[in-house]
Amino acid sequence: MGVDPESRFEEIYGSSYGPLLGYALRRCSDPDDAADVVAETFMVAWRRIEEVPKGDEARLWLFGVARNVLANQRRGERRHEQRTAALRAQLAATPLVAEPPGEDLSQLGRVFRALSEDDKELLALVAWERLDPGQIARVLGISRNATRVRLYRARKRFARGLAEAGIDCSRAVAMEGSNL
Amino acid sequence: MNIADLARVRDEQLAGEPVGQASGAGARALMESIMAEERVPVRRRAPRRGRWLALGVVTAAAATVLAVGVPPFGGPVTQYANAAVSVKAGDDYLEVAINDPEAEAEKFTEAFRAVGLDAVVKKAPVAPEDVGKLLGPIMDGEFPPGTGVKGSWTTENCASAWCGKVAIPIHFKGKVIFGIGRPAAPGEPYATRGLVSPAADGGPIDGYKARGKQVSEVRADMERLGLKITYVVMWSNPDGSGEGYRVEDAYIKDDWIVHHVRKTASDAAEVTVEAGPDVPKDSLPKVPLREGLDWWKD
Repeated sequence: MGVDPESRFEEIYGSSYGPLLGYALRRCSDPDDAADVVAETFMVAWRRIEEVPKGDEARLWLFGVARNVLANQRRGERRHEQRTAALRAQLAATPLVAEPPGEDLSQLGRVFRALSEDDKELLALVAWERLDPGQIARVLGISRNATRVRLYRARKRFARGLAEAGIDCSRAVAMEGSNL
Repeated sequence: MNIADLARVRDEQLAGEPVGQASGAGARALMESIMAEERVPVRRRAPRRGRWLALGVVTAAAATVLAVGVPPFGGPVTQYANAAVSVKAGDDYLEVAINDPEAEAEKFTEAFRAVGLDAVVKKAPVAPEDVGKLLGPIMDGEFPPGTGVKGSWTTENCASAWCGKVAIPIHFKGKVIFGIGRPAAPGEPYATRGLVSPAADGGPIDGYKARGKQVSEVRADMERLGLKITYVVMWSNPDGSGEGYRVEDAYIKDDWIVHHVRKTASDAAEVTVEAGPDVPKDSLPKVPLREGLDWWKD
């Protein structure tokens, strides 16, 4: 590889910190939990720096780790309280995320929340992280074909939920950055 | 309105805030704190890469025996090769190159014995991808202090069917049992665990990856593939390692997270799951080890 672990980690941290923080904040109702997910995910990357792929693949690898971290996280359990103190203080002072998210009362929000966790995550990776099926496949560790099939099914279930709620599907399921 | 509007925060908004930048105070402090930790790499399975010090390759046609480093008074040699296998003994390791996986087990036994081990080699039923590979060693006897056994294999510069290196106390006085993988019969338990590479979801899947999925999803996938399931529950340590054992199906909850899946026969899979958050370590009743792991016994 020719690059020492420290330089490599700094490079990955520099390019992926923002997207990873966004990923975590969008999935945690408490910003402190999000900070903990970011810390744990980068901690794994630090330990496994030799395994982190190069280029944009690193971001996808980190999303995959963060997904597992989120799945194992227990509400209120902070494994990195000390090391995230400054980050949590900063988050608390940022109007963008400081206030607890209000309950999204829109029908679209209700239909989305009623989906299975797997369906929500697939659609969120498209709409929030703006990943294409090939990238999602790498985050989830499944094949591109399987991703396409699962996305198709998730979108169908979402469209069905919207139709039952009386929402015009053709516009509501249009997802930014995606031609799905 | 669309799904993107449901996001609590967008990356563009975050990028405009100090907290969203890697150079921000919170991000810097976190990075420095992580890098201050000593890097203790997570232990992984034996690496596939590695340098194989090529032995003289013995072709199948040349069914002669090659013995190198023969000591003057007839003790064990340091290298031995026949049509089936080449074995080279170092101070604390063996380098093994399997040339003919289908050769009689006795041919393999002959080579290991020639370098001084009280060895027996047996054919063991395995998944198709493990046919012709070396299994074990199983060792019966007292280990010299400070020694252990570790194996690795390589495909680099390997002109034989299988090349590998086994770190082993060469002067070990007990019995050593190696296995050579042979194709398992349908339904016959594997001596090792095979990969699950099914066609599922109505389309081809190159290598099924179960990690992070819920038990209910993986169970459905396995049932669709016609595989009987057994479970191993593991408890993870903070350093990424973990321990566990086989547990009855009834204790496994649908929402537990799957760690990995391996085939244990052509019609069976072993699903290793992370114990649920409220399940104390080692609190579930154990069930006996699955069949197939006693291939080395007489």
